Amino acid sequence: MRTAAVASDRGSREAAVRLVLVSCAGLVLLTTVAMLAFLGHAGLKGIREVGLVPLLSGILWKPEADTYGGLPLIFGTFVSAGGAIVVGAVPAVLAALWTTELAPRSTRSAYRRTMEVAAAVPSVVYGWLALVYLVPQMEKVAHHVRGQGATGGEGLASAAVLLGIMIAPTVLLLSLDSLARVPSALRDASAALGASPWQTATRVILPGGWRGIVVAVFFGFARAAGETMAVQMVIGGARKLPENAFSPTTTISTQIVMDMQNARPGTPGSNVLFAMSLVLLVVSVIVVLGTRWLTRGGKTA
Amino acid sequence: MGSPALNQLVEITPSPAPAAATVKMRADDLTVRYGSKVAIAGITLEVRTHEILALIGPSGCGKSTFLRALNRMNDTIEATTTTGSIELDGEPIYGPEVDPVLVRRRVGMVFQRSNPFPKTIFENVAYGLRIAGERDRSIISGTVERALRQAALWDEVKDRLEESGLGLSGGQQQRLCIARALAVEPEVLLMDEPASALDPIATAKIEELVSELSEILTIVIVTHNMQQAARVSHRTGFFYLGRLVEIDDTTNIFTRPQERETEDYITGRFG
Repeated sequence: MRTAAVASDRGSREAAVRLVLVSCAGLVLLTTVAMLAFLGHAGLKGIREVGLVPLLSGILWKPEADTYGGLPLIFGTFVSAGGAIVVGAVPAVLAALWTTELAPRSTRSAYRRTMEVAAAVPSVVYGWLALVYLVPQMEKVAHHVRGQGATGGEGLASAAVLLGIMIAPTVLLLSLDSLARVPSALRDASAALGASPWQTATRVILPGGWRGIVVAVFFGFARAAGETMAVQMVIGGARKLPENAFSPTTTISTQIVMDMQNARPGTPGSNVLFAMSLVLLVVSVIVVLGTRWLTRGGKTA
Repeated sequence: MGSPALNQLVEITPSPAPAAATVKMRADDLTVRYGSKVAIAGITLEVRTHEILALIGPSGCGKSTFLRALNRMNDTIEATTTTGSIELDGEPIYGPEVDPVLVRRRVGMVFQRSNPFPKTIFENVAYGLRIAGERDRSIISGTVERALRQAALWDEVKDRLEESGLGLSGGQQQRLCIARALAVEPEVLLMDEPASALDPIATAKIEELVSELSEILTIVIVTHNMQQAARVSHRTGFFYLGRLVEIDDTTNIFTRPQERETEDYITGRFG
């Protein structure tokens, strides 16, 4: 009797646990689907109201005049994120290579932990530091490059450098994981043929880990393209295409933050913001699929 | 104290040892530690020019550690300390001014598991030349062909040099690794159980190759396969518990071992 009671007790407990787990999984899925549905519904409405071509190619973004030319936003997003790849991701990949292959072994884990901390710093902290320290320096550079009359430090260049600094730790950590997975038998083979550690790193380890590095770089791009708060603090918030690399401009995500106070739900202004969110989502999906395609098939070693 | 049974145990085909026995490499009182653990202690032995020297012994006896000491591959393992000396043509290879990279160009290595790069067959063999700074295309392609012929692989791969080296069979991959090592014209080739992961036919090809290669270079081969040591080598050294128990002509080791431990090992009483 007693054992039977215990057994049925265990059975009902397992059923309860299963119910909780299934509900959680279902809830997450439902939330995602619902979010995509709302986004798609309102976004497509916004696209119909403005027209896809004007929305993507118009250069004037003026919600107060019901004019929604999204090109400056899209341009700002792509160029600041692309700049971040040059400024941040490329050095991060090389730093990862140095860390796994050339750095003194005793410093490797310390370096890695430092990067983990850097990756965990909230973006508003990066934005604030950049506003205080990076923007004044960028202003000096702008004046040096373009003359005293040039615009200040808030602009595209500051945003790109800031985003580069922000994504570097993440790209570095992901690259480290990928490089560490290259079989050490290849290191031995290369060393035994008289390769210096640097030759082994660039000719064997880097090609061996490139798939994971591509993923890391695209991940960094997606993160930079979606970053809002920190970019908002340094990009200048001008709703127009930049005249030069230092000019203030805007991005999709920062403009959504700027305009949302005035966009009452259901109005064209609100729907257009959903449409721009949809553009951002499509960009992210393309990035993810592009990464899959680039790294498809084959094995690393 | 050779027992007649030993002769039947392994088939011995004594190959003529090199006539003029000059010393190619010499280890003197070599000790290697991993951290505080002593892997090999006080090893003193000579490697003679153009000989095939086999190193045998049970797992963990230090034979592979000794092999990796000969081209300073142990340097790549963390916390390894090496004391004593090794000379190559009378020059110490562990001196503070010696670049291990240059040692490894003269003393090549083939590993237990074939480890071709994820590159084409051609680029696998050309790798050593490229890192040495060779840019002349005709020299590179000539050397690749020469090395592949020496490794008895040319006829099988000449029509698919641009295919991945990973598409070859296990035995072919190992011969590709041998060709890759030969391309940089090493004076000594170290082989760490090169056939242990291969089937009997592929193993026979590797052994045949080893015999041929001793005409152009000096070979030190580690094996746990005593028949293999008996078949291919001129001399054999027996390692046990990090020490070199005995080294002699292969015929003597397998028919008249001087040490009890050697006899116990080759008659299969342990190991």
